[in-house]
Amino acid sequence: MNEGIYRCPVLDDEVDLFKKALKEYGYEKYDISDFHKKSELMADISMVMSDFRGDAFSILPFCHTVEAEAFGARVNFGDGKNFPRIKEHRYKSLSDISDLDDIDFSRGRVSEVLDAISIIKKNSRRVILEVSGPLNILNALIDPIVIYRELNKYGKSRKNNDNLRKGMIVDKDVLVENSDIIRNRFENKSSEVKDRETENIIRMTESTDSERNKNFDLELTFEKLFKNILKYISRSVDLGVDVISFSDSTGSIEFLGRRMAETFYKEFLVEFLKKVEQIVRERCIFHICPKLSFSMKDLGFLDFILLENIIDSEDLSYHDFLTRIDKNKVVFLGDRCINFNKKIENISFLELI
Amino acid sequence: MDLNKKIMLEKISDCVVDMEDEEISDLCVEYIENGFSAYDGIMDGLVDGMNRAAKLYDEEEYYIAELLLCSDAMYKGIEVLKKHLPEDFSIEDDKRVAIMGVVEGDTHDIGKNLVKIMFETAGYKVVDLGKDVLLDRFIESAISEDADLICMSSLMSTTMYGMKEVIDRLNERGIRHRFKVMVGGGTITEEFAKKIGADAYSKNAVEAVKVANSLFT
Repeated sequence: MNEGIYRCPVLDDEVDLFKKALKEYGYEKYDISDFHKKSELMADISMVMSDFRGDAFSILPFCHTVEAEAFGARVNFGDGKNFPRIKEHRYKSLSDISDLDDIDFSRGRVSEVLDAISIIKKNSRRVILEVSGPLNILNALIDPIVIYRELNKYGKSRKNNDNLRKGMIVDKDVLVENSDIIRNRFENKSSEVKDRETENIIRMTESTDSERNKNFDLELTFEKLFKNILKYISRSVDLGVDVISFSDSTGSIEFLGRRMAETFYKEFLVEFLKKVEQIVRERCIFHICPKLSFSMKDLGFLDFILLENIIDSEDLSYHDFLTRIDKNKVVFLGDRCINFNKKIENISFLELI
Repeated sequence: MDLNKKIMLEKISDCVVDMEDEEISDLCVEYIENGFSAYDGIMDGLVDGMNRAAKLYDEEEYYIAELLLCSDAMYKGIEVLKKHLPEDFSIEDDKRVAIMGVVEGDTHDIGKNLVKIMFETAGYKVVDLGKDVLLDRFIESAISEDADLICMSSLMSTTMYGMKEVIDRLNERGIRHRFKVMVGGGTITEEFAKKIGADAYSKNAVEAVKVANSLFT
């Protein structure tokens, strides 16, 4: 058995639960697609679902198409039998994607999700925001074979050009700053200042990025995706989101294979996670889907470090544990599936190597 | 066998295993220019390479993306060689027909695409219905194509019961006996397959071919 491959647990039928909750709380009169499109209903049903499940968190959105839609994907909202899904691959080449405008967070469903977070927080509830990673987004936008071809070629070319890489590696000391500085960067600041600080963090490594060979569409595409994901994360954290659940299952070894996964982590993902660390530290927990975290651990990009053994008599679920975690001590979690909210015995946090 | 032909077939096979989608077209052109059989080039070069890649996948040396890139190279080679097959060449009549798709509500089709590649490599005619496939389309296509096999996949626990629905509808129409039904996908287990009345379950693309073949022996 390959330790880099995480097998997902079998979860309850989400659509079924969703429908039961709608019925029990009298929401059946609404068009089911509105729960995916309108902030008030999205917030309402997210809180209802948390009550229905006895969960400490309201979770949103209810599908994995929001980010891809913001990049132009067309979504089939279905007829209530299934959750929304992408209709077809909209783009043919990576340059189609790297040439796209940045996401406008004041429009569309992505804006509704952010508004829904505000509504839930105003109700003094805890929120988990599910965020898709770059490969999951790309898989919705373009035939994955295009990504694999580029990543394969890119990996080979990087191997042949190690000297160039040396100029790109981000100095860890530059990024791991004093936590007071980071706290002050965001605390009690206007949204304009917070936006500027996020831009600074995104730009922090752009001077080194500029040394890359910009001929690679893959680099430009990841740059585009990461920049917008970081902005999305930053805005949600500003609104008080408690946990970000980051999922990029198609970036795991199981999909990419060890060589391409290593290229993806080494050249792109680790750098992104360091920027995430800057944005979320002491403000929000960043949970990485174990499909990805197990692969990163297996390839030596992060470590699982025991945080706590739970006393058996406590009968603590994972989400219960998340409510009491000290955000000052932990940034990254991801030793289990966030949607498998069962009793836990011990918990590890993740540390980038 | 001509030593030069043997060397070229090995090179073609290696190109597939090494995912060399650019080099392989030139190599296949060179192979044909040497006067060698296009059919042998496909079977002993390209398909041989794909079978080696499948073995690596089975041994967890290769994973999904690598197998897809190998098939990418194989199909590029086939594009060159198939133009040089004899005009009356056809093996279509003997092929088993498999209807294949990801069930309604689910768009995760990478695994299904791998199964398709392995089936085609093994000589099946695959009618690929794609992803998010309306349940009745499986049945209508199976009837119109006079299929031997219906293959359905689902990655999500929210959509996997669509497979049961298809089997139930086949039973209701009294035509279940005409087709073998195979299921697979991330959330599917052997137990689930039995529960819904499928003939077979496969945990991955390479095994799927072996399982399918065993249904017809």
